[in-house]
Amino acid sequence: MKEKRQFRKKGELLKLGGVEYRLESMIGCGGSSVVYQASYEDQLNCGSRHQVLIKELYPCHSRGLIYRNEAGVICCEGDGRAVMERCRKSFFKGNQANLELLTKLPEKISGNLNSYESYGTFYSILTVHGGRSLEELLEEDSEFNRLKTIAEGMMKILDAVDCFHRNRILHLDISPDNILILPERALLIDYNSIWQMDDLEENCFFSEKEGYTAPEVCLEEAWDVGPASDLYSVCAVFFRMLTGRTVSEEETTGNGLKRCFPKDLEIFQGEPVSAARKAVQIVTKGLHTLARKRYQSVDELRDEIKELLRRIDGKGISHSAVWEGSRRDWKRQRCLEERYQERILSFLSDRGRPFTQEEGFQLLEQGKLLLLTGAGGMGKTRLLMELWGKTVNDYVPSQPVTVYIPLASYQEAEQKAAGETFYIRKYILRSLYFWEQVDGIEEGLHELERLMDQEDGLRLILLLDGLNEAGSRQAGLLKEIEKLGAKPSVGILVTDRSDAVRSYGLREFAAAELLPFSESMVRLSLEQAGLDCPSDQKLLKLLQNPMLLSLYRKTMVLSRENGFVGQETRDENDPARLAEVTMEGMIGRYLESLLIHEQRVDSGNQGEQLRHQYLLHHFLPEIAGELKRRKRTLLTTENLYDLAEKNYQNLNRKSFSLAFPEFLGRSRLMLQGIHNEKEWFDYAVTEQLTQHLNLLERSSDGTYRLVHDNFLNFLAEEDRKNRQKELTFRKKEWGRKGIGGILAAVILTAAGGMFWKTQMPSRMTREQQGALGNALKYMESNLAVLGKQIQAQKEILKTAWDDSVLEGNETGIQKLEACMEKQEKDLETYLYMRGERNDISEALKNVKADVPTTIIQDLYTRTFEMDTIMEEAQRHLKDKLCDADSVYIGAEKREPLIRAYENYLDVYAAYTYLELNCLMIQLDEKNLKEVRETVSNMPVFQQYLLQYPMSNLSQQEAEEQVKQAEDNLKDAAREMKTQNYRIPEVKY
Amino acid sequence: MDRTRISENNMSFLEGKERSPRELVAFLKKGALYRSFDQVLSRACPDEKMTEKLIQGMIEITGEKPDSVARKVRNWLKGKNIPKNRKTLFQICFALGLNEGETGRVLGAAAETGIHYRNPDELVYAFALRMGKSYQYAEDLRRNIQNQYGSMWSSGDQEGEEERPSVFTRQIWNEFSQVTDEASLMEFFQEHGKDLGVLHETAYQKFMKLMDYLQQPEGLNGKTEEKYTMDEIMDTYFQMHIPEGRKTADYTSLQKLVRKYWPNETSLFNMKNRKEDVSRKVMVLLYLVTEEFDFCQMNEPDMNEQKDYYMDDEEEDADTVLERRIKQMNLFLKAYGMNPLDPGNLFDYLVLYAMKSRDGEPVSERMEQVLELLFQEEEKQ
Repeated sequence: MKEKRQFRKKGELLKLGGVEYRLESMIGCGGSSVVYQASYEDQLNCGSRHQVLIKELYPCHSRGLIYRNEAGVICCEGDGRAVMERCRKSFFKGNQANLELLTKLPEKISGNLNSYESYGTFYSILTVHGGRSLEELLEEDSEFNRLKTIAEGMMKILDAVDCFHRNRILHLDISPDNILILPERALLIDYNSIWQMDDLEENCFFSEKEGYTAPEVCLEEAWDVGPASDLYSVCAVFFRMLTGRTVSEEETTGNGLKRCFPKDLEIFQGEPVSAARKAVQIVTKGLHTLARKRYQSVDELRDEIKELLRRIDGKGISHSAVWEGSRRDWKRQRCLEERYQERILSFLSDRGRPFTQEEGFQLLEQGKLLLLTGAGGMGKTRLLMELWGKTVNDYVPSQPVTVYIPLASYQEAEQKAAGETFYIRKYILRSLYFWEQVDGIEEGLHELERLMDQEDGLRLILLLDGLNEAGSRQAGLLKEIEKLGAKPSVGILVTDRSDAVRSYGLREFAAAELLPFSESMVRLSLEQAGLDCPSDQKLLKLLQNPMLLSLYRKTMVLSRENGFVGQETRDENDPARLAEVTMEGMIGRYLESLLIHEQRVDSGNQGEQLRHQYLLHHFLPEIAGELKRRKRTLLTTENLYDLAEKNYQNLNRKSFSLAFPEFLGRSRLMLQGIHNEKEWFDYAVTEQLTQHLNLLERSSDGTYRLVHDNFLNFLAEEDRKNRQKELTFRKKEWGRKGIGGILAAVILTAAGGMFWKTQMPSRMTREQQGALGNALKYMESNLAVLGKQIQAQKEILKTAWDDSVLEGNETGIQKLEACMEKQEKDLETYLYMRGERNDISEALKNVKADVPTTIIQDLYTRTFEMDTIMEEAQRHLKDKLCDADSVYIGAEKREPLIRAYENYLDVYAAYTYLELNCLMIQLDEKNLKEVRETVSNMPVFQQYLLQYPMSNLSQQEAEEQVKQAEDNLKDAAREMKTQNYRIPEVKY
Repeated sequence: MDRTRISENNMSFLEGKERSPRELVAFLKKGALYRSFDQVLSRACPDEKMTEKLIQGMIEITGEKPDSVARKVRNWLKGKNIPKNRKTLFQICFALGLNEGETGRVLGAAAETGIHYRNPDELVYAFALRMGKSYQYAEDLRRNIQNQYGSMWSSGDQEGEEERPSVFTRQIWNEFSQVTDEASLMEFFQEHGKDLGVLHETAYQKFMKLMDYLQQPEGLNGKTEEKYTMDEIMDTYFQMHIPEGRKTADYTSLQKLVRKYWPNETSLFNMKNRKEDVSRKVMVLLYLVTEEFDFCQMNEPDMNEQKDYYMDDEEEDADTVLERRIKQMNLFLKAYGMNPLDPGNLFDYLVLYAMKSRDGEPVSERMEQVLELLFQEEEKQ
């Protein structure tokens, strides 16, 4: 708006209270008043002049209805009168507050020499204090270009605000242009917006200044206006000093402050990171939208600024900074798993006296030293996490700071600096983000040492996890632990698998062991998860190990979710089952359940299903294998990246595809959306193994480890098996390369089956052999699924034979329906394993015509045929056995219905096997052996291996057997039709 | 029933325990209290004979038949329907002899916004109310001023619009607050006539900014996605399961309340082309669908760069999140001259429910869930 006021000119004389003031210049003007620089002559020392400021009430009116007449008098017209009146009141009130404060705190309040009513308005004669407004200083980019000067400036501003608040006055217009900065202090000027805290009421008029006014003031919520409102403005000034700009509207109404403080913000360059972090915390809290979440008093904010200064001066190392670093680490590493069970410990000496974890922690608080032992999986890390977690909720300056340090990373540190004796202290400094801030770390180490040795300095509880994982060269580490343990201000808890270390180190440490869970605790834990307690004593004993208990719970819960509970039909003495009652067995079972669970979740997304299978069966074991090879428990990001790169290329390796045909021809599907090794690393390591499946852990120093070291042996063994399997195919590839040229020259002629059988390998090219091998693998895979389909149907029929179903009882029908639903669900898990209909044609392309490709193709596609048969038959069964309106009443009618389908399935399985038999006798020995081995693992077909022996079977005899089976199948189909099943046309 | 009781009743349902969309719908049907039009009027005019006063006043103002006016008034007060346009609301306020402040509150509660101090019609009404004059006086004065300064009544783009700096409602309000007589009103129009218009300027600018986010969303890796049409914006962001094209006669009263003034493609188009004022409902919906609470995440030019920030995410409980967001939304609304959220208003209450979203859950999705449920269930019935 255009300025319409007529200001007094330089040299003009103004007579107030008998004194003649000469106006030197106009200093500035606001919405309601003008300030001039002026002088008057001393009454004694003539010629000498006093310098003062004169504030004149002269409100701005848009239409100039408040104006100065020729005599210099301020006049009002029309509605200008009302504006003038309101401003007079504010001026008077502000002046009054100024005088009162001046009486009480003359050294902290801007001087007010006298006030007058004259020339139709009000005047105040103010002391010249020197100094400049903060606004001017900020615009000039002066001294407020370092964090420390800004923090010191804040201390001055807070002192100035304190005078107001102590006298129950709110300034409510704190902004850089109303802050006068002097060498030793700051003064708040312009009292026109002040309010007495006790006078606040509804309909109060508040003035607003964009970027500085608190939300409750903007919203005129008088009930919420208080000291926190002024402190909001102070923090907005702080924000301006840090960022060089005011808080924007979007930042106030949105969540905008999040992005206001990038680490490369100019003001933070060269400053300790912990100090920068503190500064950001202050602004964030101070500018909170809700008044109650902000600083409530000047003292509270002042304490924070003092802490900021301490961090700036102390190079970022202080009790609170170490605590905050530890808290940040905890947030990153915290364990969000299942509920924690309190643990009992026991001293190894002291007659095995047991004590609670809480008592153990109290010993640490007293600066005691403990060596905690326990076998793998006993929950040592979990206990440490629990102790750590309890200390990071609230900052208590009088309490020692608890810091958790995994010792596994010592392996890396030792490799970089042999005999490293500062590992622990460097770890603490790193949590302060300190390393990136100083050239050398000597200064930081020195400061940390000084603080620990200082009386009332830094008290620490160090939780040092996994001495057994620290590598084979631990001398430097032990030396450091012992040195730190000698400090009265430091309590230490070290964990190890045994107390063997005490024979050569840590002699001052009291050894204790972590006791296993009691049987009742195991029972309780299982009960809480809704699981039955196993009757097997060996298993029960094993479950007293917390990790195994946790694995068992997870496995059983996953099995339940996967629909397997209640399906455990194996005898407790079954050797396969007994094998699971070992740590490795349980780990294996857990991983398998996890895979099935993921497959179910990924249902419909074949690519993701394959990826999960690949990760759990290949990549994870490969990581374990690498750890084993390196004799380490952790891998650096670089190591792991190299592994991921190799692993990514696996998918395109022929020998891998041959050894694991389930991945053959699927690499494109699997790697959809993953374009290179880097993306594969992101997906496999970061997103899946670390974040989603929680099987890898990433430590704050960027190294990776298995979620538990106990997984190592099991997975490494898996890796060994995988390698061995692939090795045979690699050897074949190498061999083929040698004879490739000769083979290419061999002319293949069509011949009888047996001739083909014996001669085939040498008469086929390498590619043809490979293609045949692939096609057979495809076929086997689909036959396995067919077997599962038949098995599932037979399970349903088994339930249908139940008397309750035959009689049509409600419970029986419910049971049958549940069985159908369950079998259908279970089957889904297997269906993803089969290839697409056309995959086989692709695979058979390169197989010579004299190979019985038609049979391979036929057997491969049979599972799809079964889809339709099953669907129709099951629908019919459901209609006739479960529907209330069914005419199939009573066992007499129902039995033939069930029998017909049962018979059909048996005949179908036999027919399929005999066709397979017909193929097998034409295969070379190697392929025959592989196919037979696969079939022997298919419950539906294995019975026929003995029933239809291959020895001395001629091609003709085999074909006759197929013909016979075909006739049987036709009969079975006819019987089905008489029972009103709709059997789709099957190719015989 | 005063405002505090309604607000307290409705807010206490939201505070504390997390409520599922289904629970909310049940509460909306039974338990929630809505500020009815007669409550709004009774609060502004606590006169036992308010109904009679209103009927008499409206007969005088409109000149309509007494029976017809009486029926209309009774329907308003029974909540059968409420006055549809702002002019009628002004007439009601004149009829009840309300002052400028009370009128602002009635408009705010019954229509989208309080008095619009850039709209020349409403400025004249406000002046007449301030001076305690009649509706007839206001109309005469309005016609008189319109004859003199007619151009300011146009609603579309004004000539030379782009050349002159935008003058915002709040500035106008400051100036208008100093008008105390007819002469100063005429002076005001003389001086500010060119700055007036029937559309909210500040709100329009924000509206355009937010619409721009929706129309040209930034895809992955900072690539601009294909531009969205108005139709697509409507479908993707605004429809929120509110059925289209059915006669409101088929709706339940709750659905009618929700549906009332729900934006459609035409109104969005009109707002964009300055044929229609940006409504409060649209502004609120835009605020929600653009996830303004997470403003920086979408507005940061280098959002795809992996920049490190000092700020930690502070954990806040759900009630604090809600409380904070209410304040932020009110600041947002105030910046555009719009009324703060009112828990007694169904639309606002749905917004309040949506704003209590958990970490990472988009606010707009929460609103959508409730609306889907509300309309689905009713459909079944």
